[in-house]
Amino acid sequence: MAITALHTAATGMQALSTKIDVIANNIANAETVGFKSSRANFQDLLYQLRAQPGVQTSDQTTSPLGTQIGLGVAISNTQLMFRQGSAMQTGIGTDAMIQGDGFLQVELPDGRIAYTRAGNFVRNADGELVLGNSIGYRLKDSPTIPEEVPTTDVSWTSNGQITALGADGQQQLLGQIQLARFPNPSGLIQYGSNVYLQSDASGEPVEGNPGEQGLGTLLPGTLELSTTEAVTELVELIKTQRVFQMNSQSIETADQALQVVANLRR
Amino acid sequence: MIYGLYQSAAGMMTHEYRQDVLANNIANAETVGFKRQVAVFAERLRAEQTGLRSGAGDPSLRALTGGVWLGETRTDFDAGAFINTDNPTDAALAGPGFFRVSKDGREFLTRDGRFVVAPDGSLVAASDGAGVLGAGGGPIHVNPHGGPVSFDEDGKVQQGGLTVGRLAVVDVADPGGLRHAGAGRYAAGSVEQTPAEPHVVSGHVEASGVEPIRELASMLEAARAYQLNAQMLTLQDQTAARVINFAATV
Repeated sequence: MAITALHTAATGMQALSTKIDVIANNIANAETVGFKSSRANFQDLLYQLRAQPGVQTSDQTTSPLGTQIGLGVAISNTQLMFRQGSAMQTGIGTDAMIQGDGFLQVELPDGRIAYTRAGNFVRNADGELVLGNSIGYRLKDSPTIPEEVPTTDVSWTSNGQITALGADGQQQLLGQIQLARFPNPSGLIQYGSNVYLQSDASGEPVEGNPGEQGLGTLLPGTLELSTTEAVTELVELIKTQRVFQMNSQSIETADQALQVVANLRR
Repeated sequence: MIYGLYQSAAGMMTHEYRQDVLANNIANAETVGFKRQVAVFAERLRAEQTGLRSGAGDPSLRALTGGVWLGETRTDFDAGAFINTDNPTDAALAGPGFFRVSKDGREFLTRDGRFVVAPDGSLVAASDGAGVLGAGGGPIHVNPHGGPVSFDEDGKVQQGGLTVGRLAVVDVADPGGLRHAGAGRYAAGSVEQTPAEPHVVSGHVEASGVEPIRELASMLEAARAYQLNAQMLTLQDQTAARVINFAATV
């Protein structure tokens, strides 16, 4: 009935507006270091079986097709897409980019571990490395950089060591950090502030030194740019908006049909 | 009563059904792996042809047709466009065939190849975690900590340079008999399946087979046909009213 079409189109508009939300967030974060764009996954809803395919239509025949009327669409989930972002040279020694699989680990104020692809670390007043977001999550296993070492002399090595240029001109080891990887990184919880949290869907993290067990290596003085591709997102946005409009046309048509019925008897 | 009234009413209902089908197509214009449906109309048999009645009381009614009714909904299995996602666990099927997934002990066929690796290492559908079946009929397991997973053209599941499984891809001789189960899936039990030579495109998904413009044009057509039937209904009603009024004045 026309009422079915009304509801079906409404599910379409709802799902598509959620998709616009996801795209808007991707575009808003086109300049966010370490950001991974998400996609909205759609699925069709249940079908009303008005006639089952394969039912007996006479002694000798069965219907080859049925009458199955779909009831619309829903967002099944949003999926984080872990593509490698491109590199941006910053020349700042405390910056690091992961090339390959894995996450840097930082500590939330409540002691939980959060995971990030953003490697823009800064030195805090205590000489520790903290993530350069609004809260400043401390890098897990961060060494304390001695006061006399200027920040410009601190650097990363590709296998996760933090070093400083000593007074004797030799690189001196300050500490070693590990990367973590997940069986299903797409299942991580997006916590905001450039970090992710572990969930039941992501699985347990496995830690290891960068460059080992398939983990990525670190590029010092470099940051990983957002994976948002502005052109792709804009094309998606235009497409989504148009399909949204077409769903509103379905509503209008169904509404007109109901109006016709209402005016049948004058 | 006036026979045509029922035919016009049936015409309206049929075009309403068609609008429902079109609305569902438009709602799923962005659903990966979705196949558009087509409402097929059928000429309805006269009551006496269906054997319900031995014949209309008035012999002049025997020559009339039975009007129209929604015959069935056909699914158009034409391939959708492939969209590059750069996500190695996304798969699209070039050519015919279906992936097999299993949920709560029931098997389904699907063209939606958005898969992810669950924490226990099983390959599952991204939408709801239904297990993806391998060519041997069992679930596909990879090493959850073994690094990225991808598919090669033959549907083999690759991890760290090794083949760890193979996606089951089946052909269905009679796709018309497939029952829609929602979530881009079809109930597998109802049709005969044969293993197919897969042609899997990794890092891509198959876009919805819906072309919104075509659906919208059909929608307008259906709306007009609906209005025409309604007009016919009104006309016949007015005719009846005239007859009644005329009879009353005699």
